[in-house]
Amino acid sequence: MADRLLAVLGSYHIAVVLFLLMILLTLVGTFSQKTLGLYESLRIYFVSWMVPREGWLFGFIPLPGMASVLAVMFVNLLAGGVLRIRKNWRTIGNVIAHLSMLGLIAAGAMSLWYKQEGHMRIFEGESSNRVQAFQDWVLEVQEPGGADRSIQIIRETAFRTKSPGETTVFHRGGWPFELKVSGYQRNATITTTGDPSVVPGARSVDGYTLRPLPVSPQHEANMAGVFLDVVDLGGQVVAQTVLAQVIRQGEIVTRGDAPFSFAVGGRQFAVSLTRETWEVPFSIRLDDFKAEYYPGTRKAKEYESQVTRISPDGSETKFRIWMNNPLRDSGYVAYQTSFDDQSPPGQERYSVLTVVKNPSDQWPLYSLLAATAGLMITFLTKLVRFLRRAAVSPSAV
Amino acid sequence: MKKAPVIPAILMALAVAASALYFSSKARVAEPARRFAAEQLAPEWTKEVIDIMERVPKTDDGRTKSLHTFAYYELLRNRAIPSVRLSLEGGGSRSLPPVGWFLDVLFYPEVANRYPVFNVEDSDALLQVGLNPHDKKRDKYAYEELAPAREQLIAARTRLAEVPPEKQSRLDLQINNLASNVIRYEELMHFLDFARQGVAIPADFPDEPLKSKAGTTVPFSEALVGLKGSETFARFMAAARSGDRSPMPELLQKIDLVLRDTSRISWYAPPTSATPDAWVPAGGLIRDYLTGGPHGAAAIGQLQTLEKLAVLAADRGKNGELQAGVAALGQGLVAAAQASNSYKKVAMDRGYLKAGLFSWAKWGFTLLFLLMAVSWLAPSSRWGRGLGRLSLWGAVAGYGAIFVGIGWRVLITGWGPITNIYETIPFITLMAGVFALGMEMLFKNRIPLIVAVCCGAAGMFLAGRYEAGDAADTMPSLVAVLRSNYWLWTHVTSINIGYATVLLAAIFSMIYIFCRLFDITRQNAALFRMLTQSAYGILCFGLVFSLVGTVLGGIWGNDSWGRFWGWDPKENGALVIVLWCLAVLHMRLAGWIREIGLHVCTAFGANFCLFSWWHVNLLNVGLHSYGFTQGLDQKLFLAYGIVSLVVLLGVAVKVLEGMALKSGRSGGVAGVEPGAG
Repeated sequence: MADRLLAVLGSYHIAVVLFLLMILLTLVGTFSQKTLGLYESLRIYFVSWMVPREGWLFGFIPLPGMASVLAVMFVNLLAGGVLRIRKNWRTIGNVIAHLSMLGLIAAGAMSLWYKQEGHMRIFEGESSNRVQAFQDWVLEVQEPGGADRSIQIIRETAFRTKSPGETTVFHRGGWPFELKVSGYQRNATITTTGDPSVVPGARSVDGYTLRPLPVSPQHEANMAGVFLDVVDLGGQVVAQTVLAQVIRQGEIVTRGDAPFSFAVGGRQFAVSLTRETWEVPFSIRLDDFKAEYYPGTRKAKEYESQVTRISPDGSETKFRIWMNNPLRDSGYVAYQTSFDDQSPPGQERYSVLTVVKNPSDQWPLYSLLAATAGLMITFLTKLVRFLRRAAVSPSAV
Repeated sequence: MKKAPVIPAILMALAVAASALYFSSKARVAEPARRFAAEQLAPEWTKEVIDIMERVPKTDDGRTKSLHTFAYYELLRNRAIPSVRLSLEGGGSRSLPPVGWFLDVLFYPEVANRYPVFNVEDSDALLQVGLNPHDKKRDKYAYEELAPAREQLIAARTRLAEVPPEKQSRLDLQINNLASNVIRYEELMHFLDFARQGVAIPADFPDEPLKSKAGTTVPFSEALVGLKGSETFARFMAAARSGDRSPMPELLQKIDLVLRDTSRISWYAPPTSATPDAWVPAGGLIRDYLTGGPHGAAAIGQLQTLEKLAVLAADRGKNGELQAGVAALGQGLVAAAQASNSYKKVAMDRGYLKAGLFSWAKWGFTLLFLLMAVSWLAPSSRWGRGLGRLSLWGAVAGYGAIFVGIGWRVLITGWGPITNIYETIPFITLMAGVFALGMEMLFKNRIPLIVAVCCGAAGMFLAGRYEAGDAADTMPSLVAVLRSNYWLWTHVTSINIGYATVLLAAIFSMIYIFCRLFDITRQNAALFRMLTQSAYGILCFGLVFSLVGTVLGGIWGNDSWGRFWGWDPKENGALVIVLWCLAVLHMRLAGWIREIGLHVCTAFGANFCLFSWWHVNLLNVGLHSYGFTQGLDQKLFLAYGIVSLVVLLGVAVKVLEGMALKSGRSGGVAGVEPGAG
């Protein structure tokens, strides 16, 4: 019985269907990036279990998401390529190759679920241990003078509504109030009600309102905006505001993540709409930043950050971080991503480092080594056998 | 042995098609009817002058190359071919090498402006900017003819800068290119204006010695020396240093204008110990002189040399002196480059372009192709066998030339064999050829050999077309992320070997499909077996290299961008090839496909290869921006169409034979499928 089940789960037929599905999803998802941008195509095709309706083929053929295809492939590989496969010296290469592919899929799942990623912008001479996410907006709620000063986080995915008319209500233990989040816009700016581009009758608070902006395919360029109502437990609105970044002519004029303060029942709270930030267990100080350009051009040849890593115990270690040469340390990896190429030489410049925590950071490397070894064994033994046969009976053309 | 005459027939047809292609491409670059009187033209530059000037180093786009390379691509960009041939009145012609043309533009702009060097693909582009085009749709125009529409061209270019590339029509692109070319040309054309025209000293200039020359025109170098030593300049600089933004004195404004105009031509001042990599532009010399920069000391002497040469050029009677002067200038620059140790690569750079190895390989393979077509008319005769052996050695020599060409480039750039899209073409051609020649060693039946010869010819034609279409230096400087020889030699090469092998497997499968379609040598099971073994074996190699290359790419991405896999279009392209190879191998194991099915699938794999090699570059999204390309959509879809047609033919063969087998009409068909190897 178990054997029959393994045979079905691990069959070649399923494998082929999965390969073809992966090809289809990859192609559709690649072309979709032209219009949707990477973030949306990731969400629709590559990290989803089922492709949502907007991504169906020709609008009416449903598709499974890449996540579920890979999950089924994992089972299929395990059953057919590892457990059921005949094991002898001829198939050893294949078994190794299949195992390595299991490792790759597992690495993908690990980074999908556990990978944290953000960036650090450090000026020369300064240090930081805070990493800011590229994309996800969060509402941070804190009672600065309270007994518990921890920051409560509400993620954008929780208040990301389909239409601005919908309201999401949040309440956390210990809060003497509920937060009602409404009017969500993926990309918006704060403006006054006098702004001629604002729809008449749109909601406003103290003369300020949200002006929706075109949603950019580059998701990191979008800046969320919401209306916030603070309601006490008796149902009375005690405070309201509009939260977003103030943008004029494409430039952020005022950071909208300055906290909005309100008092409920004699306690003072602050809420801000900001990109999610997190701390790493060490600080990085940018000692020097160097950029070299090709002569006569503005094309960067090389750029590198000379940094000092400061441990919690105060000990210091010096590193260089440059393209293709990240700093790997205590489970974190810091990459040279970008830099200030506007400031004239001599001025303090900043460097942007991407910081990633990924438990499966090096798994693909191990998988690759195994896969190469496995495939080499398989195909080389085949080649040797073929050549031997060819030597015995040369083809008669 | 009855060899069906179909193969020679196909080959002859292909040969005719290839030569038609060649002659049509020649016809399209035919010279216009315009003829020049010999006395209208500038005196010819002597061989010595050309030879010396070709070796002069020139920094362009961040790379120090030979002046020959610079002039070659400058001309290629404008003209689509890198030389100028002028028809003379009373018959005959005069051809100008790239550097000859370059020197004419510098020293005799009034003559060079009449050379037909601007290629206009579609005369409608000229109508749009208000010009009367020639009768021919595609023709070459002189600067003189385009100059009246200069303002419209530049206005159109400014307007198009706002339009995203995918929304620009074909004509828009042409107008844009033409405007850019005209602007680039003008920079060359005006380069020596300062030396020819001098500077008119403003009437109110207060300081000696220029005060006494107020209102007259003096040589540029004299005005520069006078200005530098004047009170007026000292006051202005002191004010500027203290942050005062007072307007420039009039004389400085004039000099500043020259400084800007001459800033792009950076062949002039060799590096110094202060700036070891920089060949500063002539404008930089002037700036350094005024501000006390590292090249300031040499500036006046060098500017005076150019002034002297410009005066000599104005007098045809002094041509001998001009030639000698230019040669001396060139020799001085070469000597300076040799002294600063940057000359070796410049010489190699010129040598590479002059050798034209890829072009030799292209015509060599074309010739071999014709030879082989002839030898197949009577393959077993003595001369047929002789031609066959000759073809084998010819193919080895052709691929040797490609190998040397790639190696030469590696030595010049110092980077792995592939750093841009152009370089993928010779590399993939070489790899396909090496595998095909390996198959020939194994099977010795001339089929892999003809595949190798066809691949060589096709690849080198493609490289030539791409170079002419792109019309830019094929060794541009690398963006920071690519500057890693470790990854260039591992990831990039294995991915491209993957492309080469998957394409080669597809070619063997296509041959199989044609053989089955035309029912060639139906008794020859060995031929079919050989084709199946080749396609299958090469596909396995394709899988190994694609998989290893793709995962290596992921590891590189994990070290440069912070993620192993990001579903970036170029990554996805590589993944699709891996998945397709896996799908084909598993379909065979699952019993979905046997022999012809395998070939249909392998042939179809070429489409995925085209997708990954070319198509994803057209999308203009993702992190692999250094590979973005434009304007190949139509050609790409034509290629997809051809591959798909062959695949459909394969499916048709299968269906037809299946039907024939069922109805039992033909007893011989059963023998055609010689077992799924």
